[in-house]
Amino acid sequence: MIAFVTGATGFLGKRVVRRLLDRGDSVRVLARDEAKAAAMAEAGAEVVIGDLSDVDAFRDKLAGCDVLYHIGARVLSHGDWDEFVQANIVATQKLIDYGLEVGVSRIVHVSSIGIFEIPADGVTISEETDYDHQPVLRGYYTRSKIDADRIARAAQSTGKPVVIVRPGQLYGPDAPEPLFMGRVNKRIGPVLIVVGTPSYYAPLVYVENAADAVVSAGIVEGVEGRIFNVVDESDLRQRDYFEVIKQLPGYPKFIIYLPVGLFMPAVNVVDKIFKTLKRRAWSPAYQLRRSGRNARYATDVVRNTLGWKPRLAWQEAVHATATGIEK
Amino acid sequence: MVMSEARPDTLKVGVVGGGTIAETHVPYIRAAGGEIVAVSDLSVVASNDLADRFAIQKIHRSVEDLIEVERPDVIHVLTPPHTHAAVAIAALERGVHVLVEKPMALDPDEVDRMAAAAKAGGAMLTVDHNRLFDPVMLEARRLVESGEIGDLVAIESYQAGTASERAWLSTLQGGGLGDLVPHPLYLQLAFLGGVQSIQSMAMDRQGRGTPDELRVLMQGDDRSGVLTISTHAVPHLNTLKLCGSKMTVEVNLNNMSLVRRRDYDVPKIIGKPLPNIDESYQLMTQVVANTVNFVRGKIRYYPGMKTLIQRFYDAIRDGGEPPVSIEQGGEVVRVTSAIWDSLAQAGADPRADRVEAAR
Repeated sequence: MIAFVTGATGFLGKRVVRRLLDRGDSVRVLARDEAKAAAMAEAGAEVVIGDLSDVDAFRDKLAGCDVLYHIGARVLSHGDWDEFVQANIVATQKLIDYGLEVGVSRIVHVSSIGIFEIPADGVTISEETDYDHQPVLRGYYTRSKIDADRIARAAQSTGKPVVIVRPGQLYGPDAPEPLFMGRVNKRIGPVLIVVGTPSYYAPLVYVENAADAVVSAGIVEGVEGRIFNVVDESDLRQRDYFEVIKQLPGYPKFIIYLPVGLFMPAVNVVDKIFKTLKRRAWSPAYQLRRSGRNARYATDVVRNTLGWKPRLAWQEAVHATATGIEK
Repeated sequence: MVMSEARPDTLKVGVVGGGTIAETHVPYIRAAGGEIVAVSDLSVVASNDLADRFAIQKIHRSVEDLIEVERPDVIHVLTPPHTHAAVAIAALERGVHVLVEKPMALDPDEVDRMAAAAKAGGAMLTVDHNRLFDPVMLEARRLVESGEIGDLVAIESYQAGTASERAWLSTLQGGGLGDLVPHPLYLQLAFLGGVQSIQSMAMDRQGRGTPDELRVLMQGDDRSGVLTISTHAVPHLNTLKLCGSKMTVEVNLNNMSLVRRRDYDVPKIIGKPLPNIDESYQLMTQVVANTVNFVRGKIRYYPGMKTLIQRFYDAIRDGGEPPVSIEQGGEVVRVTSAIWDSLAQAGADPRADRVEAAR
């Protein structure tokens, strides 16, 4: 099989490429510069130099491929909206159009679970849950990912062989803050400050587990047109997760949980200032209110239809991330 | 998860065309009990943009995809005018009701084909002649229909505005000026009846090879009409004057006011100031009423569009007549073509392409 991979040098993409090469597939990887893809080239991948902002420049390289894995996206938190439009919205449509035009038999679009409307506290999110009702307040990245997901779904609805994979919050050894669940939680010496209550669901997915799901979405028979939300464990709560972290040598021993509501007054003020200055196209207050709603992510579809299960259970994945060694 | 529990009388609505006017349609569609199932546009940037702003869940890239996948009850055709006929026909043939933006079509031929498709598909077609349903216009129509105005003798519609510069304007007869014609013309024709004859005059004050001023004199059954379109006059008035044998009514569509001018059987000395006092009083009371209604959120921009959409959906649900019939819409297209054709025959061809060819 010949695969084309965008976002091939990224956190998730490089693992997908490695699995495909291990399977014996021919792999074409999209990279912005040679240096970034040097290791992959050495491992046998064909490097295509290009950028998602200009799909036309590398469209020829889609010819002859069987599966297109579209993992790349502009993920920066700054920049003009038009840059996100080109790299995340227009590129997704062009990859689908051009790919199908030259006979690619399946396109795997990697989306995100950050795209959903969370209407109330305690809801369970499924593949069919609405997109966020106010994407404009979510910032350029999330908004453009919602738009790209909509494009992929439109293609599916007209019978195109597109599969959508929406991983949860990715973590793994080489992430910047591998185990603290993103940029919000802060470590101060032996203390870890966690935003949200202990009972919050933790929609985490170990990056190696996510790579398995992405690869499967490209090869398992009969899943064209399907959507898979991927988290390691639907019922994992923050409390359980951080209790395991506490036990790890060198990690904070004390956890302080700060409910989202505590930050609301201050963030509302910031929001008003943003609004008055018309400085940014997103709303911190809306973001915070949304993150204050606890949502559980169902995994029955990815488990039952794609036949996926985490190669490492979350406890093992936490250890692997902390030590760099997979048992 | 769906956005709201579907009521049994909820209509599934598809929006075709994600441009500026769609932002006005969407809230009125929902207010009228329509559930927007998807927006389609050739540009996924445009469709997504509308979807993002109004929490629309799905997009499509063609009206055919939208209809096949979503099975809407009705679609709103909000694409550029030269695409109206093809898009509307695609829907009507499949039995989907259609509300098309103005102008309904480019020429009477297209209207005929749209009418045939509506008949074949058993679907209703209406045109967004929204100004006819502005509160001031509903009152004007009531005054005429009830006979309060007496015999209607003359109609004057006046529209001044800036010719916009959209790419598709070159497909319209009269270009940017032509884009200003539909609103005042359908207001005019709603009162004029069948048009017997037309005399037109166009000017090209700027010397750009396209007309920028238009005057039309029309004869109806037993009344006459004057249509004035100006791209130079200031302010950008949008008015309609209805002259009857008992009173004359002046409607200001921009300012949402309606003034009745009557004859007063009073001594001359009072007869001079009294009409002015009466007119001032009428305007002042309407300013107060409009302000109160606006602040209370009861009126918004393009208020007639809300009523037109509501009446169209009611007609779909109850099997009644559409707010604007195919015949009414077609008559506006027919007269528009006649205006430009008469100018062309007079030698002052207003169509840019022909002017260019003649040089």
